[in-house]
Amino acid sequence: MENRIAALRKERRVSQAELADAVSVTRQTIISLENGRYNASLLLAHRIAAYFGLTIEDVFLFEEEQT
Amino acid sequence: MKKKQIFAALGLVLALGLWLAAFFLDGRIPDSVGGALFGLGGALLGVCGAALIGGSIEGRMTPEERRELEVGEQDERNAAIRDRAALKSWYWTLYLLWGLFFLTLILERGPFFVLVTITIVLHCVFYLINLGRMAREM
Repeated sequence: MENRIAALRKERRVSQAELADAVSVTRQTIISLENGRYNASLLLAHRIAAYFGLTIEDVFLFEEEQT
Repeated sequence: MKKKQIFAALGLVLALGLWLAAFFLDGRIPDSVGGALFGLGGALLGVCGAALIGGSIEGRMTPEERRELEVGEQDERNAAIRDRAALKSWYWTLYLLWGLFFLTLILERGPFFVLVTITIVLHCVFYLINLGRMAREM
């Protein structure tokens, strides 16, 4: 699942540490989310979207994964 | 926090007591009992020593560092990593047990064969119990 976290962060000049602190996760989790190595839970996705003042769909790009 | 430290200190005293008992009763108690006392003492020493050291380090942390530690412990990615690592380790342990099972069969070690078989059965029973628990909880 792709997301726009890195782009939104850069756009708003927010550091990974600041975002991590705001949504109560480690900076490593933000790094993994941005790299696409880890998919956020619904709760974390909601927190991140709320931090940017957007909806979950605006931040996370849901696509059916091809198997 | 303080309660945990007290229990850890008590555990350390108990561990030393077990070691001393194993040392001074050597020759008067069966070797297997002495070994069990020594092993149990060692395990207690490790667990309680780690708890004491961990508590001492945590006690010297600044509020900011403590918050970081708490975030790290509750972080959902870290929790997922711990869960997956535990699951994988259990599978490896099971494969190891099956290896031991066949080894005890080949070497015709009766008591060990029974022990390994019981452990494998218990592993499967715990797995089924936890499947049921998780299905009810989720």
